[in-house]
This record gives sequence, structure tokens and C-alpha cells, in this order.
Amino acid sequence: MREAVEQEGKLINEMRLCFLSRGENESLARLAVAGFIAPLDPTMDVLDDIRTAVSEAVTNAIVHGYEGNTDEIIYVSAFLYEREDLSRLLRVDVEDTGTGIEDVKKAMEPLYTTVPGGERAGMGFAFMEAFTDRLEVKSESQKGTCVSMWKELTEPEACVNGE
Amino acid sequence: MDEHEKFLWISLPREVDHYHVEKLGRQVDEELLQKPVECLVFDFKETDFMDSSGVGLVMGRLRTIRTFGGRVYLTNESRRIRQMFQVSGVYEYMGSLADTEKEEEE
Repeated sequence: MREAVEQEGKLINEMRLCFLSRGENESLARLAVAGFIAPLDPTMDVLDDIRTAVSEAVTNAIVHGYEGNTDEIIYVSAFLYEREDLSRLLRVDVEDTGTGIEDVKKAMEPLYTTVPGGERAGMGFAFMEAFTDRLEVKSESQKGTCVSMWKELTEPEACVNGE
Repeated sequence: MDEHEKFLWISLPREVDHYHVEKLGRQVDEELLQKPVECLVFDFKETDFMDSSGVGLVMGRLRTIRTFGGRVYLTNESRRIRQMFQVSGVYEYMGSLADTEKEEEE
């Protein structure tokens, strides 16, 4: 799977969305990305995986990146790629220009959370990792964070029946 | 929320995300502190989306209720929601009403 993900193929569609870092926009981001891939008729499981992963990334941007400030901007971009075997791959980038993550490796450990009080499970990155095929986190202190997630929309072998 | 002494029944919203559960956690804690219960039930009947905020919500209440010896149960949870609790390693600390019913039938 991982090798396949690295071959992105040809870009066939693209979406860019920016919105204020308000909690109610978590739902907007999920809906937008789900709507972006809806014409490809993905399975319910794939749709749920993507909705969850996007929700985790946007929540992180709001809670950690912007520390709850609601007047900052979050950028969500989605890219759809098609390979020669007609398999399709989605990439979603979720970006903020907030505080950034000091230690990305540590932040990605399950149950790690910097927000005390027990409201957060510390499972955000673990869920992003579990529900996508590849996850990349780029972050710089005081500059911001960009989370990129890749998801196979069709298995390559499922598309080889065009004889 | 059910007023039965033993139970506190929480019906979760359609979308269980950070935005929708932020206040709910505090409300449940307040209830629990006023009136300790034996069983805290999270009902996912209406829920068609959940992310790790749902796990955080239940985990937080699990900590509260265990200090006075209560139990946490899930009910009407989908396969996917159950998986999320399993992946997070907290499922073993709670029961599912579906399992309890099955045991009673046997």
C-alpha cells in the first residue's frame, strides 16, 4: 500500500477551502472533502475514514495550532490523482499558521496531549494514521503546521477488469 | 437524561466531534458529582459520525466515575465506533449493553 501511495499519478481534480478556526467549521471541512470525492462513489468505509481523519486534523489546528482562537484561518486542500491503472488517490492537506509543534514525533505518540483536563483523548494523530494510507506532518515552531494525508480510493486490482 | 438513581443515560448527538462534545463533558461531570450513579450509559443511537473527541469524552467520564466505583456502558454503538474505542485501548474498561444482553440470553 505504502509504495502505491508514493506514486501519486496525474492530478485530475483539486479543491481549496479556507475558513475561520471555529469549532462549527469542523463539520464544514468534513462535508467539503466528502463532497469532493462523492462523484467517485467511494465505499461508506472509505468516506467514514476520510471524514474522521479530516475532523482530527482540523480539530488539532483549532485546539493546538491556534490554541482556541477563533479568528484565525485554516486551509484545507484536496487533490485527486489518477494513475495509469485508473486507480485513484486522494490527498488532503490541512494547514494552520499557528504555534506549530515543537516535537512532532512526541506529538504523534498515542495518548499524548498538551491540553490538560482529560477532555482530549490524545488519539488525534493515531486516528489520522489508522484511517489513512499515509500521513506526513510538517511543522515549525511559531510558523504553523501542515498535515498531509493520502487515501487510496480504489484498489488497483479492482480496476483491472476493463478487458 | 434518565432520572433513575442507578443510571445516568447520555444520548449523544448526531455528530460527536470536538465542537459538539466540549460542553457535554462538563455537564455530565456536574451531574455525576451531584448524584453519583452506578451505571453511566452512553447511547450512540443518533450518532452517525464520531472522531477521537468521542473517545476523549468517554475516557474523561470513566476517570470521574471510577473514583466512586461506577461503571461505564456503551449502547447502540456501531461497529466503527466500537473499533475506535478498541483502538484507543479503553474498551476493556467499559461494557457494551449489547454484550450484556447477549450474556443474559445465554
